[in-house]
Amino acid sequence: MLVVSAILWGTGCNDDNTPSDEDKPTITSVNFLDGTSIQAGGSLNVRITFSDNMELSEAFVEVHDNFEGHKHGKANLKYDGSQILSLSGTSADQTANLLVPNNAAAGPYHLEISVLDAEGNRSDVKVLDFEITQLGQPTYTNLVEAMEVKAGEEFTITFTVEDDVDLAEVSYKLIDHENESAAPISDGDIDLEGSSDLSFTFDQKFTIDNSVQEAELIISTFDSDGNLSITEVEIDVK
Amino acid sequence: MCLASFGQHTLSGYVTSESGIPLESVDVFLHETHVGVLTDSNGFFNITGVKKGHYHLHVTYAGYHAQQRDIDVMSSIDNLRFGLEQSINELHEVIIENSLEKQDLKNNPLQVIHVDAHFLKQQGGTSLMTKLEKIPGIGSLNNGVGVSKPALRGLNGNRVVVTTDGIKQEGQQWGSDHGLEVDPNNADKIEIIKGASALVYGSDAVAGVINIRPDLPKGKDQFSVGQQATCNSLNESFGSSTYVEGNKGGKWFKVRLSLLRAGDYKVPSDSFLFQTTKLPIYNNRLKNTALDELAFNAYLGISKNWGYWYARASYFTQQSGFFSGAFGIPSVGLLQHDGDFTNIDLPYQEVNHLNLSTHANILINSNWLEIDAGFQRNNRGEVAKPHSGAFGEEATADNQALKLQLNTATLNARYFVNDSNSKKIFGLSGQWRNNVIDGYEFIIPAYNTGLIALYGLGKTKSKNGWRINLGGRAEINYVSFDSTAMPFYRNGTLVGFAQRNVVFETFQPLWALGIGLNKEIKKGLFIKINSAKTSRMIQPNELASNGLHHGAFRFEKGDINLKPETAIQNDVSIIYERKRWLIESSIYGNYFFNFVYLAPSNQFARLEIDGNVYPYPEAGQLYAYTQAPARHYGFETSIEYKVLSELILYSTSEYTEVLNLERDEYAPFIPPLSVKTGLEYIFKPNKKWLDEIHAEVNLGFYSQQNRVPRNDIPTEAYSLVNANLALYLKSGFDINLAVNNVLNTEYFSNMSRYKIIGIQEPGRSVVIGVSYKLKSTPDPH
Repeated sequence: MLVVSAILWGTGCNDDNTPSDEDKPTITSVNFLDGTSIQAGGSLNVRITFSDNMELSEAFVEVHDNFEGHKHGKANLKYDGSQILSLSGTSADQTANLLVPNNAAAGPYHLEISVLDAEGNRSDVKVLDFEITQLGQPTYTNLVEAMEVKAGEEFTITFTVEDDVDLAEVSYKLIDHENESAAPISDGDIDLEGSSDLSFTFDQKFTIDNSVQEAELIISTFDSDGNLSITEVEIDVK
Repeated sequence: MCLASFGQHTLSGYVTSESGIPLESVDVFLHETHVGVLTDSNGFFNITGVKKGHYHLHVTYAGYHAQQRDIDVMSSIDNLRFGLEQSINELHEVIIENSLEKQDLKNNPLQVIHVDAHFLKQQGGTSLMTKLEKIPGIGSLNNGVGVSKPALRGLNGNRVVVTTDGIKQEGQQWGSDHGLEVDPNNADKIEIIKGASALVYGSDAVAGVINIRPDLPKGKDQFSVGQQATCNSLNESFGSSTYVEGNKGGKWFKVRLSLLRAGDYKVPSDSFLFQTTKLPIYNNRLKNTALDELAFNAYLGISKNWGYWYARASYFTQQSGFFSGAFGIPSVGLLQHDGDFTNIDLPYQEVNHLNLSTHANILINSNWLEIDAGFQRNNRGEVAKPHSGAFGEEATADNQALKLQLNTATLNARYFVNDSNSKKIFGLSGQWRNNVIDGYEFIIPAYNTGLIALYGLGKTKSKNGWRINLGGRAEINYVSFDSTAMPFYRNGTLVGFAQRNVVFETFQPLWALGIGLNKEIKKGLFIKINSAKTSRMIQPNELASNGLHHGAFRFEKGDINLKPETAIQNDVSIIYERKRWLIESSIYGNYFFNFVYLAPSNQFARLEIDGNVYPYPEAGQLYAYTQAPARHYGFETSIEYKVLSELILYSTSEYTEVLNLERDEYAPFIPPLSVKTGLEYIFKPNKKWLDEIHAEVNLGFYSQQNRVPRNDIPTEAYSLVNANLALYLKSGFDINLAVNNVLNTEYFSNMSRYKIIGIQEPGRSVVIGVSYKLKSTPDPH
């Protein structure tokens, strides 16, 4: 058996001199502005150019919502525009058409692009964010977008959120702007399901200690159609 | 004084040191019956009531080389003499045989390593496998800490067999995000066989076998209770294990309960780089990596002159969180601290493993029949919210993503036949597995597999001193699964069912052949040669996977056309042990005709519903199980030199490589070339309260690893320093202190799943363990 395997060892050696291609394909350019807004019912053409040293194979344009597990939404549909694009050659220029239907749920969405070459080499994932807007999504009024507070002293944030059909949930999260991965200073949910709320007045008291210089209150509101509106209040702590 | 009754004989003799000094309290133990005695102050032992038959007598004593002798008992023997040699290495002294073949280290044609509970307690690792990493050729594939899978010579998963009490552990070992379902506290004796071991252990034993056994109160009358507690600063874990065991007149029991709670583990850096995005690690602790573990083991047995019988019941359960950055594309929002470093939040996994087995060794006409039979139930589940997009799977109320239940029935029988110039083993192995699936996302189908194998192994000695092992195995494997369909939804409305796999059934005959040679060429110098033709049965995950494997961060698809993986495997080892030196070296070269691997395809994963093709949400690139010729080769060396009677200098090194010859591409998760050098100080002071001090410093150098497959990330070279100190007190207390990664080196390991998402390996950690054993042993009369 030793002899047999010695022979196999010899014949098994790969003696062709072309080294296998391990160079990743790349996404050369994307004409899409990070943070773009699209009105539901509209469309967006995302032109992407790809390149590879040998031969391109496929690109994946994945579009999905960034609602982070919220289960709200009945009538409106979360938009999903994922598509696989067929590519060839060493460079390719393709356009992904994002047709956002009229009833798409308003809120934040991701656009993720990656590309494979013919040998199975994979590019890094390019992640871009965009927002879908709806005329009927919740709107904030009487909201102060930036404020200054004193460390250790209680302050109140108040605003009104309105919807044309029914509000479902208001949630808030007060975070340290300098240390976003720390636990929130304060957070909570207000459940408005069950009754027909066209308007809700938010009125909460907060205190921020002197370890925080800049804070941010992030407010997310769902209506019963599944539209999500997010807004922020910048808080300077003195 | 015992009167020899008809057909019963007495074995007696003396145990001394090499220079002739009588040794007291030496363990003299009959392997076949689990009957044992201790020597008295004159080194005298006397085992009564022994039936006619072939036996192995084990003689073990701390600090000395254990001895084993084959004894054919026809009548009473009263002149047995054992002169024990002092040993250089503690690892080599205590256990002599653990393997199903009943071969000791030097007579096994393969390289075999034994470790005991003392060794494991000295090491500071967070899991059983990481505690074994000091030994060359042994590694672990890690998903953070606390979850690690065994890897032998760079191979893992379906190519490594783990047995507990002689029964192959079945727990979806192909999966890469969960570890061994074994209580590390119950692993008192671990035997690692490196190299092709398919003849006795089955076709999966391509890279080798890890045999795990507890210390059972076999042999002499005794009663003891023990307790140990361990804390690890790495994840602020606390572990506790308690046991009670006893033996009276050959009837014995053991019960052990172990608990472990660990929080989120720490890494040196406060951020990580995922592709080009820098993401935070709050307070240097990886969010949601906490874990909880509970293990229970119970044994009940009887040892008589006809042999022994024992039964085991064990249960292991672990719940561990998945790092929040390791599910989908990590984002700042997901990594925000939830205010608690010890909670286990979504997504997490639950594993539990039940093991019921019975073990017997029966004397039949001077020969021995060993039977191990068992039932295992392994439940593995992942609890997670589904993909957040509009299109995909729909969660159930309990968020049960993956739920696999694997039921396994095993029967192993081995009949040992000895005659004057040869020994033979005839074996029968049978296994039935039934896998049930549930949850909204499953990667493998429900399946049934069956296996019946017959094998024979003959051992003889040639005139010029070569011991020759020759064996063959024939088996029939059965695999079947039904077609499985998975529902997909868009915004809560059913789109349709996607077929995940087709109906499949196969009967596959396989055979294996092996030859082993070994010889003591001159005093203290042994050579071992092993060569085998093996065929590994293709497992259901390789045939029928179709889904996202979260632990591996990729979409995997099986292929029902895969053929059994056939290989020719060769090993040569040399052991030299003389005076102050102990040198062991192995080289191996395996040729696989059709190595199974996951090939990155040039397509993204898709699914088909009623003729329409959809991109598979959040799946990315499709990896397909494929076969190609491959070469697997490497070496391990270990050199120990006894500088002083208390001081040992050692150096080990290892290298392994798996090259796919068709694609000219390396396999993933292969350890880099490494050299570990250390000093070990073992001192037995003449103190009333202190029995022994053991201290060790180990410097490991790991080279860069550029031999990685496409889409993988090479790792850079690094050095690690580990240190440990153990105090063995005469009062029964053992105190262990270990410091891992003393220099707090920041590095990436090629054996870590988290390398892909840019997570470094743990930094410095301190492990403290205290154990206590209260033992009562009656006089050996």
